[in-house]
Amino acid sequence: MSPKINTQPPIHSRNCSGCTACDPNTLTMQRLGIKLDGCDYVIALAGNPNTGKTTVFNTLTGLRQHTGNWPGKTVARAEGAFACQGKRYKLVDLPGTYSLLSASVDEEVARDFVLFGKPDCTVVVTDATALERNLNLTYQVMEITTKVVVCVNLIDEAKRKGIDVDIASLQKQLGAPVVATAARPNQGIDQLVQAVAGVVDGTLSCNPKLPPTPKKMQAIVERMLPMIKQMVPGLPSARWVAYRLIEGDHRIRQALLTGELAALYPISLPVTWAASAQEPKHV
Amino acid sequence: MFIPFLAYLENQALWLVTACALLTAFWLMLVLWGLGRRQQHRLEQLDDALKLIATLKLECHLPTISRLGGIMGLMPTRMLQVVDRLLQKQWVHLQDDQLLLTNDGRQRAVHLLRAHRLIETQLVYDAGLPLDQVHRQADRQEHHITEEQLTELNEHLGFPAFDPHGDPIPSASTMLEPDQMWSLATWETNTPAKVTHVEDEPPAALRKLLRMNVTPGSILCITHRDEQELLFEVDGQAHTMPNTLALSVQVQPALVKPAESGLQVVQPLTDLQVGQTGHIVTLSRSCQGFGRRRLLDLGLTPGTLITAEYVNFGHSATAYKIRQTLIALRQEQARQILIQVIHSIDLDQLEVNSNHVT
Amino acid sequence: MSKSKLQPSEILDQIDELRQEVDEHFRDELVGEIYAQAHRVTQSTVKVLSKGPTWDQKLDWLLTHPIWGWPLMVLIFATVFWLTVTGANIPSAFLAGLLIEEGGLSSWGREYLNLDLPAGLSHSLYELLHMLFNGLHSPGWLTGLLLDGVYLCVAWVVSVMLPPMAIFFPLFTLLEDLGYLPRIAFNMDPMFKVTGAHGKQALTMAMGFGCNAAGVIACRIIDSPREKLIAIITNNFMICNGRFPTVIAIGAVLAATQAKGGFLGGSVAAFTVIAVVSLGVLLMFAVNYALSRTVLRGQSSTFTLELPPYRKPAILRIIYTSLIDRTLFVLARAVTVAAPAGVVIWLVANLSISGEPVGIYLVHLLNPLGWLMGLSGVILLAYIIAIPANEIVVPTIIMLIVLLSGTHGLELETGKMVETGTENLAKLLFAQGWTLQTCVCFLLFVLLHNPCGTTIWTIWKETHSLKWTALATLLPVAMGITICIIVANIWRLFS
Repeated sequence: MSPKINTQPPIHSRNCSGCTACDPNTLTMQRLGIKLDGCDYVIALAGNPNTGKTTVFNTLTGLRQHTGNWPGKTVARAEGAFACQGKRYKLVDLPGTYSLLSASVDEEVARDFVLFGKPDCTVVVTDATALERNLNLTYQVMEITTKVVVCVNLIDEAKRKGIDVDIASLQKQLGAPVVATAARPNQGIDQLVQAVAGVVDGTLSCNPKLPPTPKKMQAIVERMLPMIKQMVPGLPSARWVAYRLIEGDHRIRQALLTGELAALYPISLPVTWAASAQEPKHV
Repeated sequence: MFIPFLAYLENQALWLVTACALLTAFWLMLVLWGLGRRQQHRLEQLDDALKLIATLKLECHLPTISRLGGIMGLMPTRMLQVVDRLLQKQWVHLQDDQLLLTNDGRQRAVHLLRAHRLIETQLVYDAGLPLDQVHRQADRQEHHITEEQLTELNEHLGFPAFDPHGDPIPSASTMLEPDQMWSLATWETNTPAKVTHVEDEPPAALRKLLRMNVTPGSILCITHRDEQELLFEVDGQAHTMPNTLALSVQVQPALVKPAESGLQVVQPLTDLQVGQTGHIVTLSRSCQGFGRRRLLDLGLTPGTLITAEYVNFGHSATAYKIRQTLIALRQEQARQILIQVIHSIDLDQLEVNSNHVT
Repeated sequence: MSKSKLQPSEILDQIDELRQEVDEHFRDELVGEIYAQAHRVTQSTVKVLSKGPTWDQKLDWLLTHPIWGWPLMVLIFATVFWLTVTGANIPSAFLAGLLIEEGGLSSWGREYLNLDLPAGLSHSLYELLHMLFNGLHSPGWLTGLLLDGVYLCVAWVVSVMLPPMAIFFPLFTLLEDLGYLPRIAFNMDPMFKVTGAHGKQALTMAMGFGCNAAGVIACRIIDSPREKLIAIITNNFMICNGRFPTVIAIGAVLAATQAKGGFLGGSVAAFTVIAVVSLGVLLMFAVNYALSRTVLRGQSSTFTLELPPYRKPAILRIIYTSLIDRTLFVLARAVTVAAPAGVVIWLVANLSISGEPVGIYLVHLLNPLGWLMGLSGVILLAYIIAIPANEIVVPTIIMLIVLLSGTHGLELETGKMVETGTENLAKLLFAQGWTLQTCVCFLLFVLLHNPCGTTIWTIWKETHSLKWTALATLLPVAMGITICIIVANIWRLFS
């Protein structure tokens, strides 16, 4: 099976063979709360602070993690589960961060989970009313992993403020599935689950269009890439690792030295994986 | 069985005195703890003397006992005690009246210097402390850190080459050679200079320099000088400083031109009035480490439009609209962001071709 | 190929060499590229249709106004407290009548509903249980332990705590959901700046109103370790919900004795609460200042605070979650502590050594220190019993008074010993020799004493330092004892 670049919104991608029940009207989503055992897939929820990540988490799992309208509300990692079409998903709500680079404690928690926890899919929850700022984190997550779903949340708030987001065009330009949701009135959650299921089983693949390497660094990064590839052949995010090494990130350095990363990303990858581990296309 | 015990407890006066004594003891302890931090430890004094000998040599002065005592502010008898301990530990040996470092002494001195600079780097980059107050804390901590901990710290920080003051961090094995530097007090006018070192004592002087964005790495140009003070430009802004203050700034010739200072008029973000919009030119060099990274992550990159929206009571912080989000910054942060104010006519045009603003 | 035999460490060394060529602005350019692309993408996908100022912009202008911001903030909080204090009376009396007081329901019905309830409702659950136990011929000690100890303590906690929490939590969650908390941090930042603390401490303080343990956890949002420690240590100066009912109860007693009820009475009670909260905030700033200039010296670090857009609060969801998750959660915790505490109280009052209950010894023992602090041995004993959870201080005091005086002095009949309602509480306390001065010292000590067990544990987990945990625990209690001694004796000097 070769990966296809899906430029359509995930709601139209019904040509997949694996999920015949792929219809938003008959979607059999089941909230499992904290019943975490026997989960088939792990899904991470990343995003800026205060974008309604926890509300999305609560809507999906049926749990009631405390929400509040101030940045930094979720300080610890919360876990929950839901099931859809016979598969059980474990959902991890990461602390809200502006970036994965500054190395404050919560950023490290989020970064470590996305890189070392190797979730089967990372959902980046973004705020539709401040999309530009939110894309910073989105690009950073897409730099680490190709299994991403971008969730444009608070779309109802945006509408109220007269902000219109062209989801289809955004999806095309990001190169990753984009779903618009409004977690409070429960809009778009089914589509989100569908997109996640699609990314997890490989029927929906992403080809992130990432920002280019800063010009001055290009030569150095190009020289580093083969070296990193040599240490961890299966890494989908060699460029990101190069960035981190340039900045002297001790955790990443240590993970390379001890072979932790190499063990996490072995060379014998399933076909879809190997294909998506190609160099990300630059705009 | 209980009765004698209870009878003892019934002696209320005794109890009350105990309770009050405990209370007083707690307050006393607290006060002593607070004040005790000012007291220098004996070992720390030895270390300080050792460091001083090493740096005096670096600056090509003769490290004699009397000069050392003078700088450290110790009475001659106390100074002699310190020297005695140094000799006992075989960290120095005497040649005429000069104190020379032995191999052990040199190693210890390098360790201390390394520790001091690495701790300062950590305090600024990790903890986000401002530059003018890390020196004292590093002075306290440098004595109690082992070589292994230093190696760990060095790895954690990503093997930095320079500390936030611009001083090179020596490796564990090498000794520093004095680098060619000039004092700003004697620097020529109209010649761009790169600040390589800023003296971290006294703190008041350092704070004054920081307020003018004079930090290691910043590029400045003296435009005029007279007997008392010199006029200079940094980050596109003109400042004056007394010649005495210029003594604590070390510079090297700058290979690049000062950031187009003549072409653009930049202002600190604090100049932006409520309702005005500006675009960010750059972040000042005095903004380092965690603080700088956080500002960048929030989207305060060069070229970004920024509008002052609200000022709080007491004007300690201002809320700015940036990339559709409202972010409050204290004056200290705002001062480190350099902008150009956009006047309303320009702004209309900008909105028409906003695609070009990146 | 020889290259493939290179060890990771060797490759990393090569990479380290390469690193040296990269200039220091690497991060600036990296983030710059990301944002440049983000800007391009949003330019073509996001369209802003209307540009007039929306309601939240107008609201923000008002709430963060340099002049109006502070008065509005005080007004908002005063309203919340006033609603809590006055609103809590009615359900509190109802619950007390239902659970404890004989005939309490009937008098509640007469007072608030203006109608006579059927006579069958005049018995409280407490009485009914007593009848049941008597009917089952249970031994006296078992009835005493289970009913007069455990049941009474739990019932007291429920009737004293539940109503104020059920009102306060939804109101507070409403403010939190609306997005007002970051504006408080923005408004109050100059105070924090002057006292050498971080502006985000205001957020952790606001959470401390709910629960100090939650407030301590919220301190993680402060990045600088020094300012985080200050925030953790001073969080206890915020009256948490466990202590609110105590303040409210004493406020109500003051209102009943000093202002003789009515609307004015409600205001006196609310004013008491606001005064205690304000004093707490002032002391917090004072301790901030002292700490940042002595043991936690240093300057303020980077301060960036996002002011998120206001969101229309979902009222129903707020009521639901704040009642279920917060109120019931806190109540459950209080009840779990109250049950064993009830056993302890009953034992203290009923276990005798050479003819006197242990409690009498303990009270006598604590009396002198209590007197010195303007309190009494009973109050101090209640505090010691209530260390696991501050919520049960008032119930413990009442039960101690009732149980000890029942065996020693006032000769109250056991079945009718528990009288509720503000006026009865006032009568009970003032019969024990309480005065206005006792109330004031008591309020001071409610504000200033050690954090509850859960909070101490949380502080330990957050700081991993015995030193800071000890300081956070001992500092407030030492301040409380000292200030109480000073206030009580100055008061005595002038009256």
